[in-house]
Amino acid sequence: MKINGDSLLSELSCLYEIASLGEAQDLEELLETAKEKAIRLFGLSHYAVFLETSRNERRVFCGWRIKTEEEAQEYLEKAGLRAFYYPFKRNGIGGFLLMAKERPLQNSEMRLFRLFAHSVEDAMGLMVNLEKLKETQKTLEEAFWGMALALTKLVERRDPYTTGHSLGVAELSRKIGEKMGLSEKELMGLYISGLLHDIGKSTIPLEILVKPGRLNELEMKLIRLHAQAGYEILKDIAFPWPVALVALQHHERLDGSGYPQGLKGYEIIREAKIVAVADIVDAMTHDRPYRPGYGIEKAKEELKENKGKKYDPEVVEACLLVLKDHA
Amino acid sequence: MNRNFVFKTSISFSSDPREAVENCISEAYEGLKDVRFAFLFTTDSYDHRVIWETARVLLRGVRFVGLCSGGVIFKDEVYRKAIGVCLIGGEIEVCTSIQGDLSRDPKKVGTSLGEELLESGIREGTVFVFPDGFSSKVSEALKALYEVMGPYFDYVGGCAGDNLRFFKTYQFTEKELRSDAIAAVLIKGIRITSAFGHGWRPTGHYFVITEAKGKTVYKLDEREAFSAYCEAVGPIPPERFAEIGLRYPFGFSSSSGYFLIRDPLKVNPGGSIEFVTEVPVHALGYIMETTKEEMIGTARKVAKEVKGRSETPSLALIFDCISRCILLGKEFQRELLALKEELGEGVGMIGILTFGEIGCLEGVPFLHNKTLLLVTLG
Repeated sequence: MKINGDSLLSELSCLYEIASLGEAQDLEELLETAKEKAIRLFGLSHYAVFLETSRNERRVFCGWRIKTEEEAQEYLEKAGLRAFYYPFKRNGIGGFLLMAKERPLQNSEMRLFRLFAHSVEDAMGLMVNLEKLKETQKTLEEAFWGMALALTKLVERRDPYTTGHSLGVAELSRKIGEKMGLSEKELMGLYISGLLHDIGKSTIPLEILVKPGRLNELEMKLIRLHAQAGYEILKDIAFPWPVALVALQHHERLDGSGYPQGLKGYEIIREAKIVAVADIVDAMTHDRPYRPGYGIEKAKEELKENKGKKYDPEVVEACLLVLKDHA
Repeated sequence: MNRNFVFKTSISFSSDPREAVENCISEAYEGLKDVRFAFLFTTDSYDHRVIWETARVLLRGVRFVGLCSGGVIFKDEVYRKAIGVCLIGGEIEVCTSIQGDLSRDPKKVGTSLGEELLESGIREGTVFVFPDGFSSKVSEALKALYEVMGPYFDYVGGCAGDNLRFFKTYQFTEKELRSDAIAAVLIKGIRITSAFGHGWRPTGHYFVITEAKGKTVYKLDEREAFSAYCEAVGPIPPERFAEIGLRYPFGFSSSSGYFLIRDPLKVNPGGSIEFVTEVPVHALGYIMETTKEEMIGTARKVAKEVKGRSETPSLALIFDCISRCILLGKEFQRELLALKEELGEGVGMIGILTFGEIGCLEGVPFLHNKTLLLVTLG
């Protein structure tokens, strides 16, 4: 049998392009890519996908301005085009590809064409499953953030003076992280760490939390237990971020003067250094049972005075930039 | 020979645009009655506002369509500064349209073009499409045009350009003179036949287009496009890229074995390669090559194909890629002579060097590169 080099090349090209349908990132991209390839590779004049999933229905057309299968049929008949149907039903999706061209396909083209249709079906099955997974992930993420906010509110309801504090710390931590050039994933971690950093306060007796005036030494010791308590509450949750460690370390200071472990410099994780600065700024700019808010200028002074001593200098610089933007 | 149309072609080499248009239109008008339509092919070095205004006065009541490029073909010669005209009369139906903002909204341009042409009530015939060749969105506009007009029409044409200065091109009809536009004419009542070919074949070296957007290819085989391309064709100083890229375009095969050519144009900072038109992603792009003899042989084949399908052609419109003219150099005339020999002495020949050619693959209009498109009337 004589093998024609050009036909081998064209088959190789078509096979490669058919195989690459799986490279699409989502269903929309797949439908668009398949449309482009169908027309260029097979010389189709018209191409349509009628796709029905359990959730919705999609139709993609190329080469005509119609909306329904019936209109497509009528159009093809009138134009005298050859139509090819490829029905599919897989992974909860059903539908068919409808393709048309001016002349019948030759045998070798038909082989490739069937392979193409089959690959589109396979890829669509995968993409629909991927979409379902993405939807589930989105729902879970929403539930996760809802839970985190609910927990925060639960803690803050016990102490009306700190209402909004955790949210404020979360937002400021994220902004500081942005200024420091952290990735989106790291910023999400900072936000959730900010939200939950004081969760350990749920274990502190209410009368101490809301006590007006200065706390005595014993009461202070009890208050300081909230960092360890927060860690204990969070440590078994498999966060992709060090949320529990932030709760534990957000009162640690660079010079070792913090609590509960008196950690120094590099022993404190970066996220805790950021939340610590956000925490102090938010606390100083809002009223407390035992004092009115100091205001933003005082907070800036505190940061500048203790930059490199208590607070990480890079974090302080980033925070000052955020405050400048805010002003 | 029974024809339901009459035509006359003329050319002027005057450097004054008004005089050039006056000369060629008045010459073409001589002895021609019932003129219904005109093609105007110009080179880029004229003031096109003057050309258009003069043509509007002289062709009052006649629809016309025109475009500029780097050369006008007349008989078996190509001219770098000239205006060519082809007047057509007889029992024909004609409708023109011009739509702008091609780069911004190609879909709208294609749709509006199709809708305006269909408003004429003409339901079959040939659409001559003349887009601005500097736009990277021609293919999208063609798809939209096809969606509106469908398989009842043939689609042919070529893209406007300039003498490789890449500055500005013009497209016009009797209604408007524009840039970044598509001018088109729908003609019914003349037997129109077309064929095209390029004569390029794969070298055997191919790349997977792993990253591309529109007409820019970022990665070939997952590597920086320019470095990968240089490894295949040899070292290229970036300033000589256009010249060398011209000789080694990419070809994309279809299931029927036809290679759609895509011309690399320049290297961008960062090593991506910009093509003349869009390039498919996740596709195999073969490095193509050819010889002068193969190019001229293809021209002969194209002419034979047209001649075989059209009974008695009397007029040939030639849309020939400007890069073929550059590659063939002094031998470009041999390509035109090959067409003339195959078509026969009596067939009038007029055309233009194009920056992308439009021809149908199995009834669907595609934008081609490095291609010779021959359209015969009669």
